[in-house]
Amino acid sequence: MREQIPLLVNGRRSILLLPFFLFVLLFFTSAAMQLKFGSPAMTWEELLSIIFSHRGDDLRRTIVWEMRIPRILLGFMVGTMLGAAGTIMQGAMNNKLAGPELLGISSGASLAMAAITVLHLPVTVLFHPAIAFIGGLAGGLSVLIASRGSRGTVALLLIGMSVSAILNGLLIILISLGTSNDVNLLYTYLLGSLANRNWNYVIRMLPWFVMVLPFAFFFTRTLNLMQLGDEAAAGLGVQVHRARMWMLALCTGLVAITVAQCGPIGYIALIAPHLVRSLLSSLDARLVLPLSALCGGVLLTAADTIARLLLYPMEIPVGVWTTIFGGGLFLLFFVKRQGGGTRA
Amino acid sequence: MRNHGKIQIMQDRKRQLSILFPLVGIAILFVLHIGLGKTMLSPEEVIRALFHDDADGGFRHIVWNLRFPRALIAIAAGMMLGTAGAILQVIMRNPLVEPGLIGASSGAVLMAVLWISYAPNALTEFIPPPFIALLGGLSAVMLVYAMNARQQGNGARLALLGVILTAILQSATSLLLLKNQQGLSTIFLWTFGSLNGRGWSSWSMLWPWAAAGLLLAMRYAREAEVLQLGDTAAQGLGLSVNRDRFILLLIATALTAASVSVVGAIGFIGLIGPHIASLLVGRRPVYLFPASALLAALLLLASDWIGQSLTLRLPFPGMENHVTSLPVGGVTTLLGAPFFLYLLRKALVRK
Repeated sequence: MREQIPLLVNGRRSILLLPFFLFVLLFFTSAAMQLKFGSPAMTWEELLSIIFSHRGDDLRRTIVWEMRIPRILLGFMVGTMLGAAGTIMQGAMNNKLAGPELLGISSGASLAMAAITVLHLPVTVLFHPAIAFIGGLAGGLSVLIASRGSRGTVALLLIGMSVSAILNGLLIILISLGTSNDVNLLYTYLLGSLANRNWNYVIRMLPWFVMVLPFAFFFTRTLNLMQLGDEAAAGLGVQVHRARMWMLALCTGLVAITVAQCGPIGYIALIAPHLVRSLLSSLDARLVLPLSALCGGVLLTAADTIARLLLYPMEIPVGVWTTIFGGGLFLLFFVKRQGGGTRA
Repeated sequence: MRNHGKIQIMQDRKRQLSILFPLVGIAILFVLHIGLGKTMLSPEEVIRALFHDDADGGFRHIVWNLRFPRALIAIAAGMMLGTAGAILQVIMRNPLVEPGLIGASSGAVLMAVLWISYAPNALTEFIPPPFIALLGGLSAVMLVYAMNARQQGNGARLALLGVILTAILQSATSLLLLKNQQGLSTIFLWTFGSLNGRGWSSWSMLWPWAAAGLLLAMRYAREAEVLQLGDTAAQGLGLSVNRDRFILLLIATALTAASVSVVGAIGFIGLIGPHIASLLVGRRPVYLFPASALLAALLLLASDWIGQSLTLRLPFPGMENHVTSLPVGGVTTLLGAPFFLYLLRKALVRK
């Protein structure tokens, strides 16, 4: 029964290639900046010999291999997952302004993580993502339940925001009840940060990354159909409610994994699909999903480079930057999109 | 006719009661609030320390120099935020509005933090932070309002734009504070609002603004009442709508900015206060403004009392010595956000 629509209409391949190369270029530029600058800053020759032939003095080799490279990798993986999560979420809610940071998922997950830290719950590091997942799921479900019966984008987003506010209130109480010296650290973590990440974090994240991300690509066809609206999709044989629940669970999973490693990094998941859709001028999920994932990774790597180097030697958590820029972009999108669907 | 008179009398009595009840509540909580702390004082001890010279010197010091100003500031800030919220709700004809939700608080905080960290000392002495905060709050509100200009009737949209702008401005504030390597308690103070460590010097900065702002709000209550009828009706009644709306907006923002520069961005107080007030006394600004002020003050005092008792009495294992004490903004958020959710559902679901 499956009718295959050709992936690309003839002659439109360039449309796919252009953004792809753009992202790759941006990735390598920011990765190179990330590797080269900082303390100590390196010359290009030094850097190349360290990376490709493992030469150079020990200190610099350690810095590149043990600090800067894992950080880039982690940032890229986190961004990829966020980009994919954002695309799926926007498809599942059939709402181009949905995002995990606006629908209580990120704050639920971070509340769970804060609870582990402050209350010293005995959970091994490997299972932090699972706890974060439970928290995120609880946050997301409360938003869904609270928004039952309301219509329109604005209603959903506002309800999401107020649930997030409640969760943040709990978070503040948790933080101020904590005694440990790393409450300050916890706070920077809660802004979303990639600072001081080494291979341990990458290794901890890798199994989850490999296990969960591929599931996203099972949903491309459903995503395409659900864009047509619930009724049309149901007519075409999609079990809309079930598909939506699975997609949201998957999103929550993806976001929870990232939150467990580097805190809630806002607005990447929201902005990446938007950028990709407008660059591709296509809504086909088979193109949008992989490219959004890539775009998310690239955006986060770039944002992290900015976070680390712009005010060097001071480092501002990357989540602060993504909220400022991403939030600004979101406002632009929102104001530009007058009328249709925004009525409460 | 007699019947009408009876209703009038009953309404008046209800209004008197609604003013009296929060006043009594504030008085009781005031004593309880002062009694609470590492050194617990009974109500009699508090009253003796406040009014009798022969009381224990240590108690007198604690009460007069530490707890009394804090309670006063809580009351003043609550009144300011409550009035600001009531004004905003009236002039925007939108029940979902409050200073913290349309960017007024966060804009004010951002400017205040900028001013304190970067302006040269000579200037900061010359112009106190509330003026600068006022500028920030006003521009944030105007920005939100301008972004919603094309869909003025859509109240929820306005709230959403405000919430997102608030998130952005808060991030910018965190950026500045982190860049200047401020500690957690400073960040807490500015982003969530806190009464910790506020003393007489804060009070002397706050009260002129509170007095001026509250009096001006009452002076313009009549204009607000006419504005409530809608722009065309107000114009027909001879009001210069835009000017008066701007003046009221200015008063609301000034109240917010002044309270924010002293106690930080305490959220949701300006939402709950006016709502309960409008249930009690109706929507006429002449009654609504003072009732909102008193109720918000009561709520803020109560929140601070709850927050302090939580940190003092709730024994989490291994957490007897806290890093920071609970910022009152956390408590008000926990009280206010569910209330906001309830209002949202009431506004959105019924249609």
